[in-house]
Amino acid sequence: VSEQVDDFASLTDFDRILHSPARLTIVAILSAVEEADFVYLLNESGLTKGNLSTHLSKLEESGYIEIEKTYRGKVPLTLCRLTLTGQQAFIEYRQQLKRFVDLTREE
Amino acid sequence: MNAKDNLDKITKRPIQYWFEDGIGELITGGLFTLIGIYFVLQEFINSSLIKGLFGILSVVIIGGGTILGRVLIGKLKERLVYPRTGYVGFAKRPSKRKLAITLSVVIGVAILVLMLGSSSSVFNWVPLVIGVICGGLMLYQATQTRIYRLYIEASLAFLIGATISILGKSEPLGSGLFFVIYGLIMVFAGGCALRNYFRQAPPLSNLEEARE
Repeated sequence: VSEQVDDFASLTDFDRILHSPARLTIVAILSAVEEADFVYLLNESGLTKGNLSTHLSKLEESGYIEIEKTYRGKVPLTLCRLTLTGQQAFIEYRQQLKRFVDLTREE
Repeated sequence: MNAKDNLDKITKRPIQYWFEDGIGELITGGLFTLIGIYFVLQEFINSSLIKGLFGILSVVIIGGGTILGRVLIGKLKERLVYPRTGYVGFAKRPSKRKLAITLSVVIGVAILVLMLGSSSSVFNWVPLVIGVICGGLMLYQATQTRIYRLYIEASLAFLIGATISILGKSEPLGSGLFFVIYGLIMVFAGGCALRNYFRQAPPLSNLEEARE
């Protein structure tokens, strides 16, 4: 019984950084591209500017993304990229999610 | 729809985003139309010297047009799309699948060039082959993006290619007609898509603020 509990605990022990829907959305978007700017993430995630900034900062602090502040012509440009750590964390999160869904699937 | 499906949808979204504005079709269609006109013009030239020059120039036109087209697409997206709905950069290193597709297209084009000289006037199958290549590429993009107009464009490529082949137009008139007709269809489809995009994504009133 203890082994089963441990198995289940390992399945539900999700990465807290990625387990937030907003951050998971941002990382999922960035996982499919080389880089994306703030406006793209804003449009695709449906978050507000303030909310997006907060989540981006949290992801940057965790080392999951890197943020580059640059310019395109005279327009400021905030570019976001997923780091290797972020990519690995996202892959593991997806695998864990799949295992959880498989285990709890209704017969 | 479960969380896994949602994640799949999110990860496929950037490819869809690239096609959404129709700029790619608009420029590619324009390029196809120009190439088509160039092929059609060759039909009306009798001098073998000028025909030879046209043949050599066609490589420059197709190659140069492709490079110019890519640059133009990038510039237009930078000017019209990125300020509205944002910039997204794709992986610079092509995947194995993309390399395989590119290789197939190159082989297909090489076969076509060989066929151009030996096509029969009873059934000119060159437009059909071009239609299959163009339609196949478009169908691949359609299945990747689930954009319906791309399915229609793919079907039209097959249909136009087959029709011109059945009509038995000689070469390079057959290929020229295909490129002109299909190019104009792409321009129209791309133009409509761009108009829809502009309606759905008006320019941001305060760009600096939106970018923080």
